[in-house]
Amino acid sequence: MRKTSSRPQRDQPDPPPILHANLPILETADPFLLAEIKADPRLGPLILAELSDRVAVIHPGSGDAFLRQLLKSGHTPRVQDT
Amino acid sequence: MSEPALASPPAELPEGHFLHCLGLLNAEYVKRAARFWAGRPGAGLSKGPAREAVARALTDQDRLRALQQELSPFQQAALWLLRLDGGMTPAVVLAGELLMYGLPWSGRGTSAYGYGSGLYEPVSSLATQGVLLRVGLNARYYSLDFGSAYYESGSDPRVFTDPRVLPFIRAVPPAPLELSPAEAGRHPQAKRPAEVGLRLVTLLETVRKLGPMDLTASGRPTKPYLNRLTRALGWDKVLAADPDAALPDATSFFLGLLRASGLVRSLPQGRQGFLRPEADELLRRPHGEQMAVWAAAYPRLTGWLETERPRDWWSPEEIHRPGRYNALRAALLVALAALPHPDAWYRIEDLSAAVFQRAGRRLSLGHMQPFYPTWNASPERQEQERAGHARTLEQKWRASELPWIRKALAGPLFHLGLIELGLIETGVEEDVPAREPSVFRLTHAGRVALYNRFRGIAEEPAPAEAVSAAAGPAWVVQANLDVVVYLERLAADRLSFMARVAERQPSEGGAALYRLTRDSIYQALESGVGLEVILRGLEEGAGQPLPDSAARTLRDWAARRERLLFHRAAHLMEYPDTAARDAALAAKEVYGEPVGDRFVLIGERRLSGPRLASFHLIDYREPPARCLQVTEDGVLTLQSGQSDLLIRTEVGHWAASEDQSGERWRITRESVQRAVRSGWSADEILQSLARRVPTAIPPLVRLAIRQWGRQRRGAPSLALGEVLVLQASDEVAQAIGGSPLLKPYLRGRLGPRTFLVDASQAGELRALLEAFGLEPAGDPGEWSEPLR
Repeated sequence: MRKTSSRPQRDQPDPPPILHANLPILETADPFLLAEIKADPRLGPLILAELSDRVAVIHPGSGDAFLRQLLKSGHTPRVQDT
Repeated sequence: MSEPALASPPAELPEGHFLHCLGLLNAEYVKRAARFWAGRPGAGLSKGPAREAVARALTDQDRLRALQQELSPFQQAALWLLRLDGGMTPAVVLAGELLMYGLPWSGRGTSAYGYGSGLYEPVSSLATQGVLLRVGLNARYYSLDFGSAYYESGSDPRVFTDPRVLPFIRAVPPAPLELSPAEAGRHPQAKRPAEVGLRLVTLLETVRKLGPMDLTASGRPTKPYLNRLTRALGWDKVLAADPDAALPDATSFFLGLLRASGLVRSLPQGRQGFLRPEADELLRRPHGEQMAVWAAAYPRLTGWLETERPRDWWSPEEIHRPGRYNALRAALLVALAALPHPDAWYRIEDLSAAVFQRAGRRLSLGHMQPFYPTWNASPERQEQERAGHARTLEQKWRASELPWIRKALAGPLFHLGLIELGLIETGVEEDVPAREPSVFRLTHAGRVALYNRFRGIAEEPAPAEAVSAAAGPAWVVQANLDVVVYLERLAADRLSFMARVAERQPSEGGAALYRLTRDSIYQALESGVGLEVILRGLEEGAGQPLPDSAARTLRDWAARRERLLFHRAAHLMEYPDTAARDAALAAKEVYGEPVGDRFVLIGERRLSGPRLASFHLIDYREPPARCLQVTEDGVLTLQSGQSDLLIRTEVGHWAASEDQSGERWRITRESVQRAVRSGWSADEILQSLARRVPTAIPPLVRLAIRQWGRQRRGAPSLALGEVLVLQASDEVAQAIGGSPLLKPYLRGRLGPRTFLVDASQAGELRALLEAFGLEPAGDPGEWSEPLR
């Protein structure tokens, strides 16, 4: 899992933005809840990257498994198809 | 009933399909159709003008109105039956209905010969006149032949007429049967509307809760899905063991009925089925109208039988095709609609005999032997033979179709609450009196769904429904979140609401027990029911405010759900830095929520602006990008601008980072062994790497990963040993190379005059050579010097 950060400035023109499409993403109401989920040994390994202290990217292909495990762990997430 | 209840949503045929199919037929058919639809002006035309005349007639309302006066009662009835079914129905169902309607038809149609031709005769006669046609979607071979090659031709089993004529068609009731009422049944049994409603609502809600219906390639529910539904419903054993009215394989029956009602949709070529929104609308209709939809689905039901599967079927697939059972179900429903008095009791045997009288010579569940009189027999003799043949058919009917009718009445129609049964005692089995259905009558729902439906009569509210609103609250919500539901006071939509927000608990009698749980409320919220709708619905059903603690708990559960949001397939825009991201948001090139330093979480792909034409798309439903270059020394370099969010984490599992930018790694012994310790295998590392490189992995890297990734040392694939090089002149080399005596001392031959010698055997070899007069120069360590 990596924490994303700003890249150093370069003298080259900015590369175009990248649209990452169809990614499973988890948003939490506060950083503690995300920390709690990360610490869960059944959920933490499925988290691919943290975009912020409240938003995490789930490993593509593991979205359904993550959601099932989330429910099994007693969480009740609002689920959006997009 | 303002409009006849449709079993299925409107037919999904393209506009003008009737004229399209007409064009596929030969001139004789088209001319007859023109005569039928256009009347006198349609006579005597050739094919093209005849088809145009039909097209004109179908757009001429005056002509369609006038057509009614020209229709025979049989044609009128056929179009009325099609109207009841939304304009399209399986040919075999219409055939069963028409046979039982008791109206004469003219013409034999095209299927005069072959198995089943008698059954299809009424439909075939209508098709020949152009009143209706077979559906011609994706037809490889289009014909109006309903005979033996019916399925082999790949033809659509449905028939239809042009929908524009249907609004002009009046109701035509079936001709009443000649039946005498029987005495009221002893031990009368009937399913209460609330009981039936609860079962059907439970079916719909369970199907909804299980999520998309898994379908096979043929579009049928898969066995694992059926097993899950069977477990979730838990009905099968109880209903199959009902001593008076057993319903075998209840889950397949009710699910089949649901599919036959058209309330399940699947996308073309799709392997998943979904409940249509019409399922919710259905639950808001009066009970009788709801039952009309389920009753109309019954003849279309496939994949389930009232009795055991017949032995003469050619293929197990036959159960899934519309066939003889569907025709007999259709005939039975029409027979029930043709009872002389809708409130009276009748004997089941009398009903069976009446069905035989009308349909039994063309419709049978088994093989039907056609009548062939003896060659050259006198008319009297032929008449005797005909009567003998009729007696044989009747005996077969009593042996086969009568038991089926008894089971159909006591099974599906009883459990749908359409039939009330009277039982007679037939003996004692294991100290328990054995009983058998003997007489029957229509229930209120049966009168609405069958008797009234075929007559186009609007429903009168049932006495129970009329008083339900005034009878008191539908349920009581207790502080411990249990809900006691009074079934008799409950409309189907209320019951559906309760089934959606609460879990059913075991209970008996006139009240059902439900419980509001965190999971049931969560599922309801996830299905789109808002918290306020849940609270209001519970209060309306209870007729009073909810207990404070119950309302507070529901609000807490709903608030807890809002703390986590999971996007199944979100879209995320990544910018090089914060400034670029903020500039894009300010310029409204992208709409969404800024996340972290460089990302925007996009709401429903809301992108705009010319700059976005050049964004780089990475779709995570596609295979991962091959964005790594690998060299033979194990160095991995990320190709700039092509990396996805996975690559760094993925490579980081089994390679060591080599620079600060996170774009260069090296595969080392330590990195591979670290990965192995955390659960990776060498093969998995290689697969992971192979998915990411555009070319083949260098063999040495492949070998190194395999060697480093070995968890246990096996047989070494490589060994270093100490050898000496023995060089000789041509003559000596030839002698040494050809000597069996010296061969064990030689480890190999590098060239014509050069041998490899195991250093540990050098002393022995030297002694042997000296014995042959060959003295190698110096010590064994000096043998590398060339011999002169």
